[in-house]
Amino acid sequence: MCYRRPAAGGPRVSLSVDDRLEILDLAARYNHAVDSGDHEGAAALFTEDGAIEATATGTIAGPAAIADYIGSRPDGWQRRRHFNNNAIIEGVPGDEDAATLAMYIMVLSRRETVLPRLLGRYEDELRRVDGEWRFRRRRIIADADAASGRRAEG
Amino acid sequence: MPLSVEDRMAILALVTRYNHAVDEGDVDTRSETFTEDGVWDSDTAGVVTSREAIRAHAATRAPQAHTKKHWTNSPVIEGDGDHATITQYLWLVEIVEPRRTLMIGTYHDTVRREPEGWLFAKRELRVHSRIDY
Amino acid sequence: MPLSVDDRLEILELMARYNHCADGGDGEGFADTFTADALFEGSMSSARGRAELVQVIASGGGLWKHWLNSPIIEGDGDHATAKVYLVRTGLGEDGEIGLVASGTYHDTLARIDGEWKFTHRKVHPDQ
Repeated sequence: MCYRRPAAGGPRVSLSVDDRLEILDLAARYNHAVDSGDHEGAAALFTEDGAIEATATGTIAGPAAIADYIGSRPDGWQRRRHFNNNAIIEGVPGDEDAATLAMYIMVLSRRETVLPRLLGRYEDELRRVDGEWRFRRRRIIADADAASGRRAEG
Repeated sequence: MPLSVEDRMAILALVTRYNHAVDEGDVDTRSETFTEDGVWDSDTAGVVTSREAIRAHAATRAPQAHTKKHWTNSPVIEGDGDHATITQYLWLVEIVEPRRTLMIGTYHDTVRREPEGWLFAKRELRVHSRIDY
Repeated sequence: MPLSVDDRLEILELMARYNHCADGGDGEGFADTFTADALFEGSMSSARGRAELVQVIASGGGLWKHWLNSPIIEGDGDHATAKVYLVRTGLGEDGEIGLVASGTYHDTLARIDGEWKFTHRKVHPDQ
């Protein structure tokens, strides 16, 4: 899959520079919260009806379930480090409080020798609530996950 | 006064300038990313105080340059007026064939607006792990 | 006129789009990030012009992913240059997922019909 610009004349909504930087900031705060074991802090970055969706685990909906999910990862997220890259941020036609974010995710283990542990892509839907951008839906598409010994086909 | 978008972009550009300078062994540019009274506090070099001392320290490290790449990621910038802090990840890749090392750490930076732009008043680097791969 | 913050973010997103298309096996989308007569000099292949650029991307990469870092973007008006770090992840010779190559892109860019595109992109590999 490729996140091409829509053809000229097609629907294309440019977010402001401020919005784009705030969304990058949201993504960074998620990484710091998850990697430092702050599950509640990570869950607070989602809307009340927010959800995480991953191939292996299905849909986890609502802040309480999201905090439980992040806290219950088998060998602890605290020993990991989330790196993002290649963010593409776009607006949604007809809804100025919605946006999408597509970017790469690499989870590096801090101690183990298999690097990186997880390689994949986020496809996020974002919503502005009371002036703050939040994750409405975070879809994790793993291309490779060393923890489960699985290597998905691209 | 909260940081403007221009301030945030200028602070990110400062980090980038540092990364390229340190990796290219560019001692002057690296030391000039610090204020005159700047502090460089790292698990690898200890505490070095003042731009001149940082320049002297950098000169001893320059011959090792061109084998390392500094990758910073997930910056969280907070501040107002002429002061800000940045918390960000570091991923340092070192290639001296056949050995390849990956170091993971965190930078805790304090930056200050000076007449020549935003500069580091203090950089703290905490190293979490080194891995040969 | 110096590059605006908006210009810088658009150039960063162009670089991101290049990677998503290259890694997703989309030759047309990849070629869209270049001007019609652009020159691409990769570590394994070179291409000039749209017809050749489309052919650079043979198939979807899966594990093969481009990661960028530390872009330095300079320019004014409708022209810019950039220097940006690159690593590629993939399966190494030992069969483990890892960093398989690294280098630096040296780019020149132009704004054509309001959109930033690469006019020249050259990879300088580390290895």
